Amino acid sequence: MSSGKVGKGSTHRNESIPPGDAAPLKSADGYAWQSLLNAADDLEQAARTIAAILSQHLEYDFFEINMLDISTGVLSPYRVHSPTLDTESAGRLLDGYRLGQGFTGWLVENRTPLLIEDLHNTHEFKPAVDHQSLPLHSYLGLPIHENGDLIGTIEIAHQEVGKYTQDDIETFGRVRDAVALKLANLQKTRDLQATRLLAGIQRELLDQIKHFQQPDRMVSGLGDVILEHFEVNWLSFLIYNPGSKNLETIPPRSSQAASGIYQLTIPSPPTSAFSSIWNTQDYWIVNHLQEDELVGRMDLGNDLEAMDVERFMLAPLIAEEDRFGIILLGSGINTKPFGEEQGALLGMIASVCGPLLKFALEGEQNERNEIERSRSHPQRSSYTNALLQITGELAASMDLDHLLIRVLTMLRQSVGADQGAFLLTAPDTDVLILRASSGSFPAPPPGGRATSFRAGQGLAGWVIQNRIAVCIGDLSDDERWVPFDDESPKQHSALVAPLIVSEQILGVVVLLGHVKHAFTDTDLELVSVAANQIAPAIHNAQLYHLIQDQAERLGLALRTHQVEASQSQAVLHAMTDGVIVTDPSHRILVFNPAAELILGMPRTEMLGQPVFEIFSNFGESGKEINEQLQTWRDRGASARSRNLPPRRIHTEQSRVLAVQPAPVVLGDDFLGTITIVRDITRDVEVDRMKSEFVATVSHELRSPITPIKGFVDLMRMGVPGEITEEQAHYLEIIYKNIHRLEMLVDDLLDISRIEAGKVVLSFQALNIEQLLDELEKYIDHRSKTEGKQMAFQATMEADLPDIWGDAERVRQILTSLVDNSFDYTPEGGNISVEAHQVEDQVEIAVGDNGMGIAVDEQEKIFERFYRGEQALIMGVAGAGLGLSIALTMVEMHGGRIWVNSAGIPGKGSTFTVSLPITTPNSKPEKVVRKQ
Amino acid sequence: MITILVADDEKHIRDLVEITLEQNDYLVLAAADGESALELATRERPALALLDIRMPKMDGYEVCRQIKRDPAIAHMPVVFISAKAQEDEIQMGYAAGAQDYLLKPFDMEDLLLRVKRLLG
Repeated sequence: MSSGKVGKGSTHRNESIPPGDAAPLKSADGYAWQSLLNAADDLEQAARTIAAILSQHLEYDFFEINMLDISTGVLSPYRVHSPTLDTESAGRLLDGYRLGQGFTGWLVENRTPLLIEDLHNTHEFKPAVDHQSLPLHSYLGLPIHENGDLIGTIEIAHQEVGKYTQDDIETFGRVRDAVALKLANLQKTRDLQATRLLAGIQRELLDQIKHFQQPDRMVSGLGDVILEHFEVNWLSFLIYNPGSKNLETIPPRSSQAASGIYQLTIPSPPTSAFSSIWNTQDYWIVNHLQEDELVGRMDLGNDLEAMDVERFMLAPLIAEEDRFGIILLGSGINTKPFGEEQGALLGMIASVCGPLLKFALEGEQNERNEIERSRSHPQRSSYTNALLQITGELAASMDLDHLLIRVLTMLRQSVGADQGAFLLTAPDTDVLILRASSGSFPAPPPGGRATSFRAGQGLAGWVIQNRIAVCIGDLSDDERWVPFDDESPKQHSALVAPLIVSEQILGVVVLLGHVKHAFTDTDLELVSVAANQIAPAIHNAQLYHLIQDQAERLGLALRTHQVEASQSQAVLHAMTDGVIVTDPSHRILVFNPAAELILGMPRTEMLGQPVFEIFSNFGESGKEINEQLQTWRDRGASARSRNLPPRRIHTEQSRVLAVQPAPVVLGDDFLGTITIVRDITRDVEVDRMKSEFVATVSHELRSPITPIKGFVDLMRMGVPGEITEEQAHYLEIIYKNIHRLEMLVDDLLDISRIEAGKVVLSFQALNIEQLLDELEKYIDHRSKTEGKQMAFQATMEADLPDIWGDAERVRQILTSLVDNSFDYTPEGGNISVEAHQVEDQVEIAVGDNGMGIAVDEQEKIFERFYRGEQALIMGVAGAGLGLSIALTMVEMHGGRIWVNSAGIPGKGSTFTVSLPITTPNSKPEKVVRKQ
Repeated sequence: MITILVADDEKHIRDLVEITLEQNDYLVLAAADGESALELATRERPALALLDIRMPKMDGYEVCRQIKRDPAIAHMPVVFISAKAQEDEIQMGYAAGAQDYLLKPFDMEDLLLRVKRLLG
């Protein structure tokens, strides 16, 4: 927003958000915006789209994007008003402004966000006339950067006081960052279009040079060109008359053009008011004549008013640093106010017109000189032809190399030079590049060849440094002259003119003669004028290439970005898991269709909302999720993704959802969170069915095993009568296999209970010595009943504290380990159990000197149904469930279990279990294995 | 002779328990469903009842509850013999008033030990 000169009564209305653009955005997520934004063809359209995007996040009554034109320093506004704002008063804002004006200028200069609670009550930033004239109070503005360059500003304002907070800066910043690349790209495109337009205008203007002998005709011609590009009803070329000290209008000749060209005489300096116009740098705009004090003091108002002029705009006419006049444009009250961009364009037109007009004004004088020159040098072409040809070339060609050679050839012919060259400065260094040559110079390759000269070195270097055209009659007398090629001994006279565009030196044009005093001052003048004409063409061509390069690079980057964005979007849309992405302040940025479906919440309503609203409906689990999300926000960048288990929530439609939130951290920045929501209703159901099935199988197997086992028992007890030894042996085999089947059924049941979360531990203090005694008795019993000799030693550290565990489950764990040792150690082996304390745990190591476990099997033995190679060799019965169950039980106790084995038969293996000791803090509790 | 009631819908299991107990000098009353089991328990007042849970007409839990509700026989020890191995199922057995719960398949020796213990 500007706080510059503002008048009243403007009829220029700003557009509010068109409903057609806003509607699709309402239902779009972050990626959809990107594609909408990408579809914007120009800055105006982009600004409207961004305004709509922003309205999803922040409320505003006024929205403005200002794009900076680096070459002119003008900020062009693209703004959108809320329909609630009175557009009549909104129209009072300026159309564009320069650096340093208002908040926009402040943002550009300070490059930091600006938050103002009340525009009507701010003293730091004045004058804020335009803001105070509007019902706007809160203001928030940010500079826009792309790739480190400042490209503009983005600003909003609201009718309420204190509407915006620090959080809003963050939100605003994210929208800004998301759109910066697109804006930069559109800006480049606009610059390119502007350059082309300017090149076109320049060619049209230069075309008028054919009238240079008749200034009045030229004025008509130039006027026609200008009137074509500006919507004005009044135009004057005012030329300073040193005799009368007035600015006097050149009366146009053509009556057609004259209809818009007025005659005007302005008293010139020393009128102090006028001196501010006269000394104006580039251009000057007055949009409201009657309100402008300066105009009033100049006593200009009445004249202009008489011509129905309400606004005017002027630019100085300068030739060879001589300010000799102004171009003045005026328009009526019913026209749009002049914008800064128009001012800049007029400034550039004036800089092209200046030398032409000056040359035309001096035409008669020149022509007289020409006649004299033609007499003394009949071989030379007339200036008329030379300049006409140059003009023709400029109009015809955008190919710089071709153009320069043609111009050199013509200049050589015109001034009678033997050699000619364009030496241009390289963009980044001060090395001079030989860009084009004519005569006996070796032609440089396209794009030029670096010379050994730098700015300040040699005659060309001197001209570049001093920006003065020189004519040297005898090079041998000139200290600045440095011979530079084989032809140098022949070179005796030189004409060197600087090529300058808006204060920027581009290089020099050099013409050399093989005789002394080959050139006159008139030749110098011609070459200088030609140089002034050519310089913008060189500048434009260079700029054109630069912009084209940048546009291509940006285009490529944008395409890559678009491809990536559309891929991400496609992935998000196709996912069956709900994805919810938030910004650092937990507002929802992405809510994919799956999330919409699973949570039953419309995306349009969720976008921009705090993510907490989603989960607050889901009881305790939802609360935990929200607490977790909140923690990440509070911890900011230090929030690292820990592998948290997904949480289950139950919806009102009795569906079960698994929710997995995670922070998104890049480097030191906390960027937000991503939450995956999966409908696991079916999985939970399948899980339940599986457990039920296993329980049923276990039950159904128990029933038939009962009579088999029972009757075998009866037979072994001799109830039906005496049995033979062989019969007894067979019965033993049956009995053992029934036992095996029984164990399998028990293990299956355990597994199903673990999976169903039905295993509940009852904790109590357990005495280690007692546990070890039981193990010894158990192995002793197995040894006797199975007739397999096995030694057993139990040792323990003195004063070992009790462990804190479930008696039955700890026995199950330890029994399972000594069972394995017993099974995998051949007869006559040895089992040792050793217990000691390590910090707050007791480690119980069960070792043997049996078959051992191969190293590559050691990881797998804790998996379900895994049976090692040795199980087959040793003929050990089992389903491979024992260690898997033991592992789960140990973990439920908060302990660990691991194995050491060299995998060498006879060296055996050692399983170690660590279980927590009983401490004063140990409290009876139920531990259920969570999913 | 001490009388023990055995109720199980599976004939082979009834036979097995009957033989084992008779071998150890108990008198056995056998029932194939819950209703007959309750009828026998009420009428014959055995010293102890071994009840399956899943039975036709009336399940073991209900038989047990009815026994415990009848003051005349409420003192009778009840032992469930069942393939139901889930913790909640076992809990329900004790909640119905049973003194013991024997999971199928069981050792005959174990059965005899428990019976002896309950009969003092």
